[in-house]
Amino acid sequence: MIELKNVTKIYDGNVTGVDHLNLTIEDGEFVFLVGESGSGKSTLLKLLMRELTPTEGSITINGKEITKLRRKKVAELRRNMGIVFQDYRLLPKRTVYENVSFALEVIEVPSRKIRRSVPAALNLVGLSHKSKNMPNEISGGEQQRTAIARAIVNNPPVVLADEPTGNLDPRNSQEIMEVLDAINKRGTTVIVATHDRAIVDEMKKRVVHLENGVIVRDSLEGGYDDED
Amino acid sequence: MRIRTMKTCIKDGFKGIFRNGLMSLASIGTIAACLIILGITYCLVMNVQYFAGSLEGNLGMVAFLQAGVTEEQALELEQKLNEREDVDHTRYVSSDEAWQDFKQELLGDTADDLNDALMGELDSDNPLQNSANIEVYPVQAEDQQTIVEFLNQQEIVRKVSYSADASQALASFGKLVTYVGIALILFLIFIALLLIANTIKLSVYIRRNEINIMKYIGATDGFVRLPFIVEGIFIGCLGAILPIVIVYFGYDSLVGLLNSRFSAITTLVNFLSVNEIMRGLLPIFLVLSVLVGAVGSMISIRKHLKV
Repeated sequence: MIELKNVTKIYDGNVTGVDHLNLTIEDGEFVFLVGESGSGKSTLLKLLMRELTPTEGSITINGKEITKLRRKKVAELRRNMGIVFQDYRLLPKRTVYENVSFALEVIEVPSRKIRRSVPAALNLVGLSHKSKNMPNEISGGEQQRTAIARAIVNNPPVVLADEPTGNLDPRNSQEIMEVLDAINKRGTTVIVATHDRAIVDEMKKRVVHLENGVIVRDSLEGGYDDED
Repeated sequence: MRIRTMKTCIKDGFKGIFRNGLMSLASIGTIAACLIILGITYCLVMNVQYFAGSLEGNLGMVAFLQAGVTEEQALELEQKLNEREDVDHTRYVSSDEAWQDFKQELLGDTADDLNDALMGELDSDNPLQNSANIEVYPVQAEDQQTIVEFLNQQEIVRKVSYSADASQALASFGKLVTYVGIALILFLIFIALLLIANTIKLSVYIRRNEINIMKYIGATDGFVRLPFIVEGIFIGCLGAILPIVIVYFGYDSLVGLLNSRFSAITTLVNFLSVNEIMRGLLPIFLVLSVLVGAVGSMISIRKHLKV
């Protein structure tokens, strides 16, 4: 379970990222964080992945307070978290397979386990046939699916995705959301920050709407613009 | 850290040198230049110290004894001197020995009947009757003054003959060369550190996305840092090879040349052998290149680990 209590983040220069936020996300939930640019979606994700620490308040993940973690423990936290970015962040000089296996190499997983886990992750995102391709040889949607495979190859209990369809056309966006939905159905908590109305409206998942760093709406099976 | 991971990090570090080929080459070259200057400075400092040390050993003072001082009294003083920690060694010269020494010095090896006859006459009436003395050699040139003071307090000592200026000049010259040498060496280390840090900074910049991803995936700081430290150490060590070769052969040839062509210099000054120089210089080069490489890398990557 992820729990934010009274979380405030004020950046240098007195800009408020999130303001006295209270939010609870149960294990296995699929949550959309929606809102305009600057509403606090990315700040919230960065707080969860411990890229930022809150100015005030507490964040616990599975009962562990993460705001005061030491650097070494931050690495441990992130091993239990898959992160997907809008710009994919693949390594251009490595194949699709190598990009996914890289995630396991850096956390020193034994080779035998890597050989077993990587094909399974690529199969889940439907990219087994492209494993030997370089990132510049595949489409944007496929690159994002590679990034998702990299995020889930270690079977993390939580996946955080920051605008995963931001650079994709509607058809590829649809495919990405299907992949994330499939991952969620395996029991993984999925939190997606987006301002893609179409996919939010279509998927009918929990929607947390942020405005100026404040939650203005939290609805189960909601749409992008639902009223309370 | 697993052995496989270590191997990967070392391989990555090695690849890094080629990834930034030109920048690495520039760093290796400049580090080599710094180390060559450092090597030359080291040779100079060590030889000056060696020279000063050997001069200090010969920089004796002579305590002339009062007329009528018995040999027992003289030997008693000599023993007192030898018990002092600042005295290296002493030599008691009786008036007879002083005369024989003088005669030997004056006549040398030349056999001359007239001179022999003349000197023979004087043997029975030693003109250096008052020249019984003790030669005292200090451990260090700067100890000379305290020994002179001690000798002047002795009743049986008539006069102490020494060169105050020479000892002081030698001591301060030795110190000056050492301090200037150390300052120069520290400055060169700083330059080398700056250069390696810059090269690694470029390497880190090129791989910033990779580092960023590694951090998000959950790599520890140590894991991210290691390839860059390895790269820095490789650059440092490669930069040390050329100076080792140049200093070794350069110094050896120069000393050889001085010994063969300028024997007038080498009768006055003895140089340290190339092996003696390298015994001191090799560990300095190795430790410096590894340290400078590692520290330079750590400085460069620190900022990128804060993700």
